[in-house]
This record gives sequence, structure tokens and C-alpha cells, in this order.
Amino acid sequence: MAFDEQRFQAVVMQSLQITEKQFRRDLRLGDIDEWDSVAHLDLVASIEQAFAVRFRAEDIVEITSLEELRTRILASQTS
Amino acid sequence: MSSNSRRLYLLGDKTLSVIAKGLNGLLAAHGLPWEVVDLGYDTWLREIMDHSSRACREGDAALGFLLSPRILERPHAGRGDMARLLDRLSELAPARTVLCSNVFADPLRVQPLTQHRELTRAVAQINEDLYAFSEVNSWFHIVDHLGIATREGLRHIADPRYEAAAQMYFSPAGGRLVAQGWLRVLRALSRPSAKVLVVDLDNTLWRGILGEDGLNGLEMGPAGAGWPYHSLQKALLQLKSNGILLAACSKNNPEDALKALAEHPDCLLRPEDFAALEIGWEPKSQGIRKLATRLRLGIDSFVFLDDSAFERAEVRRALPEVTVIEFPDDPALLVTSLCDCPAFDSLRVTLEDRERSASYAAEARRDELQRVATSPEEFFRSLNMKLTLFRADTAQFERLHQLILKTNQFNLTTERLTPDEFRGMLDCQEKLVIGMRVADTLGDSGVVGLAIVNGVGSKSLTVSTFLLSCRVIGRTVENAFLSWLLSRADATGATEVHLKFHPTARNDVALEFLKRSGLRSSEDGLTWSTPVPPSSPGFAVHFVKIDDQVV
Repeated sequence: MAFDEQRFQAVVMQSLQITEKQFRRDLRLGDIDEWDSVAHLDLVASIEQAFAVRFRAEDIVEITSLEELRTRILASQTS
Repeated sequence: MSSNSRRLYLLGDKTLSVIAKGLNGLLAAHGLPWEVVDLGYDTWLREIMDHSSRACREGDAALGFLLSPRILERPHAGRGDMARLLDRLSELAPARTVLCSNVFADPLRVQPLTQHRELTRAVAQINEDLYAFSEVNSWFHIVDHLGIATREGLRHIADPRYEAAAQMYFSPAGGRLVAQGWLRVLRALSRPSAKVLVVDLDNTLWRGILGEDGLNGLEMGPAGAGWPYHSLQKALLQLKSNGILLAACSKNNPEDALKALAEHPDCLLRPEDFAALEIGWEPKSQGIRKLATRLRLGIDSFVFLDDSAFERAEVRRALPEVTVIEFPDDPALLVTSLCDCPAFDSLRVTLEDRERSASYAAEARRDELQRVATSPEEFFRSLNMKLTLFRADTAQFERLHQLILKTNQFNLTTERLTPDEFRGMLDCQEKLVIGMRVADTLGDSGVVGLAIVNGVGSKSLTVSTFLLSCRVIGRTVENAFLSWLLSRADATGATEVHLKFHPTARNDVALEFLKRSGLRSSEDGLTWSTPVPPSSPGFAVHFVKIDDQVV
């Protein structure tokens, strides 16, 4: 299944409450004020809901970049 | 955050940062003047026991204890800790505004079949302690976590993965639901609750259209297709017993509608359950306006329930102040829609609330007396009004504070004191807080007036709050209240009295009163003064007997 980048971006922007301008494909936790450790938990939960995936507890803290999020989503969709 | 906002320190046994952030977002979206500050992971006992902590030191901040079922895993199932918390809160003087969640059990643990009894008992005991505490401490409010968990289900609000990852008991999704529960309590603390629910009849109160299906074709019985309407009617009776007035506004022939309400065997609501009825063919917004005039209540204290999207849109457009409930697609969800509407939320139900409907029924009889009386004087005399004035104390605190929050029309300054501010005034030497009860031959209207006098003991008294419930205005009670106040000022050695006034969109009736009172207005119109004894005659009091209990 192709990765729905558009959807992904929308969920990230909505959860972190950032604009299209602030969005970058390679954002990492801490790069912007909006993505702090509190927002991170909400972001992970929003991604879980939008892409019907469930991360492992340790992944919830270990994932620290959008790239890692994409990889984990893809892995769960192909498995 | 605006400078007028009040701070709420959030304390708990687990990580609360996600909930605190979500709650701040909700508060801002609803325009509620609160700012939530998360005091960090597992701080509930530490902060409160340490007298030098932020939570203890900053006396004007409210405290919120947001607890998880994990406190039940502490020694003695957490009951000892909870007792320590409540003891400490009683000590913190002056009493603070405190919110505290009740508890629910998390049965997702080993040996669920043998441990549930013990756990359920522990939960019931802690909650009983909390309810008992809140009943005697009007500043202590419970947030119903148990209700949220029951409605939403534990697996939906808690997620062990997030607890493992971040010590959060509530998952991000669950935290949002919890934040909604806290929002409703904070909203009820800051905004008066609605007073009237206006319901449509056809396909709202019952299934069917009276004009087409006839009385016998209407369904509202406890079984079958009438069930949603039966349930709604039961919910309305419950609202009524908590002091919400019911009114009906329906496009029907008045005689037919009245007959259906009075005679349909399954109709739980009878004509006497309604404080007023507007049955006719006018636009509903007109009907609601008339109801507001008849009940002497502001349009913004009205809530409207109607199955017709057209009528809802018409009311929304003509009367944007009215809260319009979104009617569910499926009538089976009617009671759910009603429960989801926060307009009726109130943290306390006072005796006056419970008796309000009867009081409005007496009011209708007064209107009838007035109609048949040959003169206003004859009418006032026939009422045999008695006014009881008393020094406000903690016993009447809730009702008096409710008047401060709810009175819009006959309210000279509309100063919405917080519970803490108001409580502080009761023991203040320099202030006199007077409550007023009114009764007449047709019934007891209860505590319906309040004045706050400043500068007691000096020559010059300033009245910063002077208000009367709209239920009793226009019967010369307001004149008698002011006259009494001026004679008391005279008797206690004052030489002048100043009444503060602050105009609002709603208090014209208070301004008209001042203009008739014989008091002199300052140039800006914000202070109305008189020497005592007054030089101008002021109000003569003929129709009211005064029982002065102020010592």
C-alpha cells in the first residue's frame, strides 16, 4: 500500500497545531517549540488513530522524528 | 492568557501534562477565564503537605486533584491518603476553591474474580468520604471520573502502553474525555446555569403530530415507539425537580395541546409541570420572547429543544442568546443530547432551586390576583407581604452566592464575586452583608435579595451590591428594602449612603428604580447618594411588613 503522505502531513499539522510553513518532512522532536514531549504523546496517539496502527510502549518514546514515524507506519501496514 | 483569568493548580498521582494542555485548549476555545498549571508528576500529597509549596502559598489559586485508580494500590487502598488530603484542605484557611476527582476501580489486574469485591468496596468508601466532605464544604467540587469511566469504558480511556511510556494513566484520547469533564465543572463555576427549557410538543415531547394523528395517535408510553419520548419526559421532570423551569412552545391549537397534555394516559408531564405555555401559530422566537416576559427572565437563560431544523434555525437567527440543543437524528438519543448540553450544569442544587417551580405557580396566581384587583394598591395589600432581613452567614451562603452569580436584571452593579471573595466579606467587621426573604399569602419566595454595605461604623456607607431576584420585583419589595437600609444607616450613626451603579445590557430596571428612589446621581451616573435621614421623601412603605433580624 502506498504511503499517504498528504494525510500524514495533515495529522501532524493538526496535532502539533503548526502551519504548512512550519512543517518539514524531516522534523524531529524538539526542532520546533510546538513539538515538545507533551505534544509528542498526542502526536503519536493521533497517528495511531489516523493510520490504525498500534505502537509498542517503547516505540512511543523511542520514535523522535517524522521519518521514524513513517517507517513504523509502513512496517505495520505491510506486516 | 488574560490577566483576569484564575489559576488552577493541577495535582495528581500520575503525569498530567497532556490533560493540562488539552484542558487549557478547551478553556480558551470556550472563552472561560481559567489557566491550568500542571504541578508535575505525583505531587498531590507532597505539594499539599508542604506548607511552603506553591499550591499552599498562593492562596488565590484554585486547586485541582486529578487522581487515577492507582491511588487504590497504596496502603489501605488509598483511603488514609485521601483522609490526610481532606484534613489538610480543611486546614488551608481561608477555604480555597478545590476540585477533586472521585475514583473508579481499574479491574484490569491479576485475579480479577477474587479482588473485585475488595476493590469495589474501597472505591465506594473513598467516594462516600468525598461526597460527605463536599456536602459540608461548599468550596469543594467533585469531578465525576467515575461517570466518565462508566460511560466511556476503561479500555477506551486508559492505555497501559502510555503508562509504560510516560507514566500517564489516561491515554491521550482518554485524557481528552477527562479534560471535557473538568471543563464542565470549571464552566459551571464561572457561568450561571440556564433557567428555562423550552420544548416543542409534536415529535419532540411525543411521537406524532397532534393536528394530524389526533390525541390517540400520539405515542409516549414506556414501551415501543414511544420510549424515547417517555425517557425524555422523565428527564424533564428531573430537571424540573432541580429547579429548571419547563415551558412549551408549539404550533398547535391551544385547546388541543392543553387537552393532550392533561389527558393523554402516557403523558408524564401535565400542564401544571410547565411554568408557562406558548401554544399558537407565531414564530417560535416570538413565543420565546413572550415566555421571557411572562417569567421575567433574560433570554440568555433559555434553552430550546425542537425536532424541526427550520424552527431551530429561526430561533438561532432571531435570538442568538438562546442555547439551541442540536436535535439527534435518532430520537432514542434525546436524553443523551440533553445530558451533553452543559447549559444546565450547576454544582449545587439549593432549596430555592427545588422549590422554584412551585414558586412560579404561585406567581401565576399573583398575576391573576393582580388582574382582578381594582387598583395596584388593593393588589399589594391583598398579598400581605412579609420581608425578613437577616445578616448573611454560612448557612445561607450557597443561595446568596447563587444570587450574585445569577441575578442580571435588578442588580445595581452585577459584581460577580467569587465564592472566596464573598466568603471573606461575611466575617469582615467593616462590611454588612444582608440577605432578604420574601413571603406572602400565596407562598414563600425564599431568599431573593442581597445587599453588601461597606464602611460600617463610619459616617459614610457605600452599598456595592444591591440586588433582587426578578421573581419579586415590581411588588414594592425593592422600595421597602432600600427604605429599611436607609433607616438602619440612620440608626447606626451614618450620615450618608451611596449606592454604586454599573450599567449593563440587562439592568435597565435597576436604573429605573434608582431614578424613582429620590437618590441623587453623581455626574457619571455611577454613584447614587442620599443623606440619612433622607431629605426627600423617598419611598413610602405601606404594603410590606418588615421582620428585622439583623443584630
